[in-house]
Amino acid sequence: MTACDDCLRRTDLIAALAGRIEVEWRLRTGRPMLLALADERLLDWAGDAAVAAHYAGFARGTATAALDAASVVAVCRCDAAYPAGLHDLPDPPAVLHILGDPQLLDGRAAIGIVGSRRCSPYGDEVARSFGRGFAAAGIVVVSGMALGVDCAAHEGALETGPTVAVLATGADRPYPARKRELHRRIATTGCVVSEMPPGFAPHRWGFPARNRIIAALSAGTVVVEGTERSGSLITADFAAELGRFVAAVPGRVTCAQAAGPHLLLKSGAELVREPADALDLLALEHRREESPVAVIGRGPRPAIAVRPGPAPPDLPPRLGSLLADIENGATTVAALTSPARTPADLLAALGELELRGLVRRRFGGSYERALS
Amino acid sequence: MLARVAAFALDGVTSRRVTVECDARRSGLPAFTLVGLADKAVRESRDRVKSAVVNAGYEFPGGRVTMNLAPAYLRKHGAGFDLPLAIALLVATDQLSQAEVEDCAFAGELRLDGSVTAVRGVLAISEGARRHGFARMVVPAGCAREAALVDGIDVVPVTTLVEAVDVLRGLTEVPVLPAAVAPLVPGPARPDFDEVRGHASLLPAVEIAAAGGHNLYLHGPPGTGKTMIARRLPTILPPLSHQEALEVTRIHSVAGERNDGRLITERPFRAPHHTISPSGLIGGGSSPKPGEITLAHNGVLFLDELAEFPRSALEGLRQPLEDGRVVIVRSQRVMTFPTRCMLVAASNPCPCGMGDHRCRCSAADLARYERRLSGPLLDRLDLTVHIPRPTAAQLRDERPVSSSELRARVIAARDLQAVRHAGTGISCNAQMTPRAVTELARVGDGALRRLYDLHDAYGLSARGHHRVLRVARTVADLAGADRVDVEHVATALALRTDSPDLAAAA
Repeated sequence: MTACDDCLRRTDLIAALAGRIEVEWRLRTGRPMLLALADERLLDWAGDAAVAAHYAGFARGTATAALDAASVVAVCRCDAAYPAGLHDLPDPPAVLHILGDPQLLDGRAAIGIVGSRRCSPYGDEVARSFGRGFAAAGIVVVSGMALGVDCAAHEGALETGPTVAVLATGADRPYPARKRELHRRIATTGCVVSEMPPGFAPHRWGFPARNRIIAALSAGTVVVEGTERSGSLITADFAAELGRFVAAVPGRVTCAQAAGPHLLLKSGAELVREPADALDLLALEHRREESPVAVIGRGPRPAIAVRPGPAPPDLPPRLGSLLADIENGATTVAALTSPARTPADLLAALGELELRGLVRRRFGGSYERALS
Repeated sequence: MLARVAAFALDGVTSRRVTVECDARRSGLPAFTLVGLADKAVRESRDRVKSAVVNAGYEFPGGRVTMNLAPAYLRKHGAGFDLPLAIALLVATDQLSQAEVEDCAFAGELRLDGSVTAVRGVLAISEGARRHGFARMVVPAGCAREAALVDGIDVVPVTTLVEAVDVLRGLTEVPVLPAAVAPLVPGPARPDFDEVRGHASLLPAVEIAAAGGHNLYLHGPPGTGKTMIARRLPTILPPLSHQEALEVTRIHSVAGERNDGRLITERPFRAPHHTISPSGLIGGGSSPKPGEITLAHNGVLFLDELAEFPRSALEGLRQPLEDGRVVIVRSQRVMTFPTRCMLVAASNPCPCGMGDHRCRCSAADLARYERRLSGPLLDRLDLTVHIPRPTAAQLRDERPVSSSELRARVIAARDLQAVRHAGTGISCNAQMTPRAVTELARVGDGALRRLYDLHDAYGLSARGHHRVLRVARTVADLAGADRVDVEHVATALALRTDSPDLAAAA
């Protein structure tokens, strides 16, 4: 598992041109496939003598020293250990930098979970349960470690197994910074990967570029929440272009965060309600080749109930009807009050449901159905 | 000759005895000196006293006059020493006899024409005079009613220096106290909970907060009634006891907040703006003055837009809230102010205030807001109530609940607490220490077991654990239950304050 000089030099060149690419990205002069250009074309496009001199003076030793200092392993597209899925991209990353366990990228089945940074409690809950469910079924969860859905998916997955985070910054550089603890946990049990060299700072263009890697590493992408302009739709586009399955979790039509998934569903994405639905899609993809994934998909469904099951049989009727109201979208104490329930009884009942683990209370006092 | 007259200096919200000494000599070069760690306003007394004495028709000695305020280490401030200084001067120059002023304490500011005007903190001064066994207290008529709130001391209201001297000499009757100053225009009607519409579902939580004295956190979009609810909280708390009313009146008088001489019988409600400085909130200044939290003593301190308050100010609130008093140390003095109040804080769900799907805040905005909120104060707030926008149907159909109805239930619950906490120095459930919770709260085994289940599932801290039990105890008190049961714990749980997770909850 190594990286050749040419690929390292190319990575170094792209890092040196990051500012120029950022300008191009912000001006939005079309969407040039800059990352698909060969090194010479990139240099011509930049027309910067200093960068050309830097490129010519590239020293392998400097690059590998930086990798070693950050404990990052590099694998280039010329190497056999390079994740096969990335070769499907028109502009595969020259080098993949891996912090953590590279074994997770050896071709085992992976599914991407992406969504809004500003998800609703529902989106958080769903992403978490999908992450948990996939990891329990032995599927690698790939996501971008952004706030909201991405982090919830990673955290859910970490409860039952390893997970892969794809960063737009250097693999050793947690972004967003306040998720450094999550970054550490992912790097310890799974791995954090990036196209860019260690220490690379966040750039806007880096995020869509990161999304193409999420799509390419995964057998399919599940979009949990997002608006119609959400970056997760970019990931879904990449996945569709690569011929991977695109799935979306529906929400309420009145909720802006559900607009993205609904748009995808309208244009033909698969509807998934629980991890097992996505596992079925995986199985379909692998039907012809007898891969271990197909066995998982075709056999009896794994014992991961993530949709809220029926209410427990010993639940008193007053709690049962309250639970039903919460499942139907009433989330605040005010909304849950009815002539049949006095506010004081309601508070006791809500606490009782939480004690039983059936609902989860959010900051400020709103309630969400808990998914196991 | 040498004269001694009793006066009192304000020290925090109490008063300390000061002896005003005057040594007047007919001989020597004419001079008038004032010593005894007096601040600017007290040093200026010399000129006021000199003019007032002369203009009132008395003689000012031509020789050397030395006045001293003892003890010398205590810093004296304010104009309240004018009257005792003038009286001491008259005694020293034989215009009054020492015997005539012996059993009497004095306070009052002089005008150049010899009239006497009101000073602040006169209640604390007359309490001090009673403590030191004085039979009479001569005070300006303008604040005499306030001084007379203290039993066991005769208050002599005077309007001029001449009147004071005549009373002391026994030349005139002691004037009658001025009648209570009736407000000419009736003030705005006291707010009442029946004006709050559309929030019937939240009243139990407000009632629990009031019944246990628990600090309350109101969370919801702007314009939904957070301030309205907070402002009405004093009206459902039990009425002030006489002792509490005296404390409140004394504090407000010392702070110069109120001077109509009546006993304050309503619980104070203080709502400082979020631009307040730490010393404005907690108390301070070079001659320390009570802060908003002390002015809210025995009442409600309301912090609207909690996230906007400077962190240092909120940081400073923690200890006073815990201890019920704040100790302020300045270069030469240490002062203690009482701060036993109920804290009500309010904030919007996010910086733009809209919440839910109408919110326009970025993830970074939310993260910043979350950091500000999760700061120092949130874990002192026992109860969280989410206040949503009321629906039209709620506004139209709900039966209003009056303050008196709520207050009756609060008083019943407080009575139970008073019996349980008799002799422990605890006045309401919110003040229970962890030890008191264990020994007095009578939590049923089943309830405790269920709560421990939750510890692991939700990572409840030890502090959070006791907070839930304290609130559960109040819920049980409101229900008239002797033991804290699972349902009471469940209710407390449904109202707990936890750390914000806005990134997921927005």
